[in-house]
Amino acid sequence: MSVSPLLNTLHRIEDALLALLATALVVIAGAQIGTRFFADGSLLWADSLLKSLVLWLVMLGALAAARTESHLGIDALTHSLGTNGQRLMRFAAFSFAALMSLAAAYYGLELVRFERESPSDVHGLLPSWVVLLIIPTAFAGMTLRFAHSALVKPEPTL
Amino acid sequence: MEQLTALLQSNFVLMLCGVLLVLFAAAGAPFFALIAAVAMLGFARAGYDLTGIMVEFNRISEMPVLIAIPLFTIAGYLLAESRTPQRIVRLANAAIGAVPGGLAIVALLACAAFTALTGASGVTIVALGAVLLPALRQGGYDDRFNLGLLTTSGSLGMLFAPALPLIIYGVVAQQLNTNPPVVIQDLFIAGALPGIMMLLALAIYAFIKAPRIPVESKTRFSTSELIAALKDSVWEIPLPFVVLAAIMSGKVAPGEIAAVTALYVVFVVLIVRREVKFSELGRVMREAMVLVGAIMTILGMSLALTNMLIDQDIPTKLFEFVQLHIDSKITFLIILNLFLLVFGMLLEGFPAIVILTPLLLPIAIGYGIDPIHFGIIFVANLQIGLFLPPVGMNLFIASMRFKVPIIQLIRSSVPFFLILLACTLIITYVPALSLGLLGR
Repeated sequence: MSVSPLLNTLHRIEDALLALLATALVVIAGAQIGTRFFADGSLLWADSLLKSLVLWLVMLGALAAARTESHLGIDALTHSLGTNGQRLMRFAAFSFAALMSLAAAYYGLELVRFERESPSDVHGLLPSWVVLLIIPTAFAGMTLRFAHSALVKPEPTL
Repeated sequence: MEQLTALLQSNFVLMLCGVLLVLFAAAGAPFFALIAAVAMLGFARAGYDLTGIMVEFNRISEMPVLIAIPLFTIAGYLLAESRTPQRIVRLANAAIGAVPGGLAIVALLACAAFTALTGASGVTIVALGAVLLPALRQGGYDDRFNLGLLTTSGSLGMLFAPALPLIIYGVVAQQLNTNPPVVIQDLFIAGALPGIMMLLALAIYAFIKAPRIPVESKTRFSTSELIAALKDSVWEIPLPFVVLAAIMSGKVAPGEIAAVTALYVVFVVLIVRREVKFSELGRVMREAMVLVGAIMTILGMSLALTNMLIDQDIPTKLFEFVQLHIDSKITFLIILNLFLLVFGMLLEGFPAIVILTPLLLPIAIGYGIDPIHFGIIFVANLQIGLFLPPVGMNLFIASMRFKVPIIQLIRSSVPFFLILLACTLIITYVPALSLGLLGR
């Protein structure tokens, strides 16, 4: 698929961020076990950081999955349809996904607002509402990607 | 909002929404969106603020056990990219390749070990299939047998710790506050004997089907090859033992086992062996995280759904309804098996667990089934649902990987399917097999 240079850069930043955060998760989770076993302590900041990392990885992973149409769904039933039938099914499935992502983005933003008014986690390096911003951001991105998938013709699969 | 709440009190409107959602599901809409829609309808009908759905969703970052999912997935994807699959096959071949059926048993063991460590069974076919298929052909095995064996082996090992299906079942079941409670370590122990039984049954079949070919072309046992293979796998061998020891100790949480596994795998693959270059790390990590994102958005939305179902007392109502029609535990188990097979095929593993557990587990407990035993029944059924014709996911993956028409794979898989079906029935009707080691 031909993508504009701007979009291409965006994808690369996204991938780099995913790789960086995933590596950080492995290293920090490992370090935390190390401290528990060998220094008999626990890293309070690490606990909070790991939770944030899991959330960010899940959301960025979900965003990347929307790019490659890798979200899990029942795809076996549409194989037997003709081209027009398949396009109609694609349109229905992806518009619905876009609509639900939009709703999730909206209520995700509400969640951020609530969190800002009464923070639930004070151990983090960042205010907890900033960490939660990834939820509406990723769902908003997914909305765009699903809408794009709904409107364009599928790439021929190998 | 209030109008919406009033509108949703009508059964007709609810039914209409239900029909629409089934249509979207059939069209291939993502599961997370479908689950979110059901949760939203439930919240709106009860008059709750829909932000509650995202509060529940955010709990995916608050449960300590869930860190295991990204960590195990990273470890699995890195192992699949490295030459570890080749080394596992070489070692197992050197150890038992000379026994009749040995090579096929090697394939079974390697696949089971790999699936247990990586959880997502599709990865096993992709990573090990390319090594095992030529090896089996060279060993003189019939191709029909080979294809059936490898398609089946793709989901073998889901019952062995620390496989993700057991962890995910445990997480969802814990939301239901069952009595007795579901402890993930108990699930790991309970899965051992049923998993070993499945392996043994398939190994016996492989022994029977082994080619009777002239001795000179057969693999001969060689001590020097075994020693060489052992040396070659010196970094891989400790891993399963460390994981098993950690589980058996009962003192290490699944998240911590995952952390040690991932750190060890990253260290070995990237630094010691250098089989994945740092420049490739970005791609591998992205592929792993796409799977994590896909699984965990479903899980997050299902936390909201489960919360809604419990709030509305739906599992209890469902149990009362089912009890009117099914009076014995045995009948319930038979229907459960059929139901799980079909939905296991349609919903592809993880989604089946998060969607069906909150609905079925309370019913099962009502019929006196232990929640740990139920988890094992569930995963055993899913395991065969994954390659159940016509739309089991592994049939498609194997068809792409081996470039063979699906119909041929279906024919090849029939005997394997029947063997595992028999095992699943035994697992279902003999609770002691799952619960014995726990002393229940």
